[in-house]
Amino acid sequence: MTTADPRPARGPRTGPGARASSTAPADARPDTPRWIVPATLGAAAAGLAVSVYLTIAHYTQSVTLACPATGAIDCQKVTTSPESMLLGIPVAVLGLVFFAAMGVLGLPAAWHARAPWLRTARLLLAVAGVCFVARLVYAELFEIDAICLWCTVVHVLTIALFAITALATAATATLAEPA
Amino acid sequence: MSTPHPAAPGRGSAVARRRVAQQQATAVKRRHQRNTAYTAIALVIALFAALVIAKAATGHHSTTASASSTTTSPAATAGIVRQATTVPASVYAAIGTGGTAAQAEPVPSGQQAMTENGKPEVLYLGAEYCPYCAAQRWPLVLALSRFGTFTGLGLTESSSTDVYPNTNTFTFLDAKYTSSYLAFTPVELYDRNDNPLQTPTDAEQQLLQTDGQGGIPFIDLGGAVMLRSSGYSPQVLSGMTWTRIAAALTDTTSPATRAIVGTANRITGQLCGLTHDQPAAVCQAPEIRALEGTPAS
Repeated sequence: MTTADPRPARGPRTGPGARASSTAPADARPDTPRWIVPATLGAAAAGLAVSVYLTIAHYTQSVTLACPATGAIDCQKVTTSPESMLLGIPVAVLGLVFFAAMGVLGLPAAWHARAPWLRTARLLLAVAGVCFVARLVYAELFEIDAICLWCTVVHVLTIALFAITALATAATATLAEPA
Repeated sequence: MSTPHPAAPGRGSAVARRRVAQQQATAVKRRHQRNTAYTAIALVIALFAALVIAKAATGHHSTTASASSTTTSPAATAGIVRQATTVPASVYAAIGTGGTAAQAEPVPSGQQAMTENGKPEVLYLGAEYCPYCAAQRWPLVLALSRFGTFTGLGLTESSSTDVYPNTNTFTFLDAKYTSSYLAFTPVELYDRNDNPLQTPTDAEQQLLQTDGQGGIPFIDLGGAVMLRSSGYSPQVLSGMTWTRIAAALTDTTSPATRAIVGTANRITGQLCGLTHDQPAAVCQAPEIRALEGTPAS
């Protein structure tokens, strides 16, 4: 006598009636809604691209940020301000590392993985990113007194990654991990 | 003969019930976490909205604000001050005059030597709005740091509406200077928005009007030599922040560094004339000896 394996197949479920969370047992690998991976990787890749640009501009005198300098908006003033460094490390580099790490943690294999520590690490990294962005926005508004448009793009992408990560973590929660 | 397993149907139904229960529990857990996520996202958005609203409520861009100086964090300010006051001797030696023109001239009134507690006195009269003062503070800080120690140096920018707007610089407003060789008396007459800041003594005002012909920056070195205006054009610092200027102070090819250090060497040469070549480590350096104590330098 044979019985059907109740677990979902390992490959992507493509059938017309296949609902992501309707058949998988709660203790199986978390099934991942389709929007999660492209959303995470898209935001991480965009953030990485802007961070690379800001990093190159930081280290290369010949590269000037394509950004108006109208007083309130002044990328150069922000990216060369004292607040553009943290413990001697340019924040552009920190952003680059952040988005690279989020990109790795946003790979399909990482989202499919069961390990609670991985999910926790991804969420904590996203929270840390938002906290750091809040500090930078405060510095722009109240200390440097100028706004950097490219930095704002990075800030928005960081917040977007936080929102994606928070919702995706909720959507892939299992009973096996802590609430 | 085989008999059916008596427990099979009951076990299958128990597994199914358990699975359904787990699915329901998972759905409840996910719904709960989703609500938590929505709340967190809303809080984050509210936080950033609050920052923007607070900024809008407290004032516009600082070009119209009344603050006399920037609010750069103390740690960042300290880092910039440290870089400006610890320029390596090798940089001074490599740059020499840096292509700057001689600026010092004899004090025309021929006043007696200016001293304070027996030490030659350096008097600075300037204003935070003034772009030439902004340019001159950099080499003055560098030069004086070779003879003593500053505390309380702050950062500011020149006026946003004057020529060479927003030139990044130091302010002597709250600065204190201690030295075994020299006394330093700075007076910042106006803030960057042209509001009165510090009041000079009658004697200082007299010096400014007679010897300085009312122009700032005016620097009197011990009553013997004076510096009027800046030793280089503020244009050199255009678009550069304090951080970039300070970070470049070890780059002997940077135009800003050559202007600042070159002018600092010229001032140092004059100061060595006042201190009788003390400290020797500074005043015996070849690039300083070549500039020492002659008004034409």
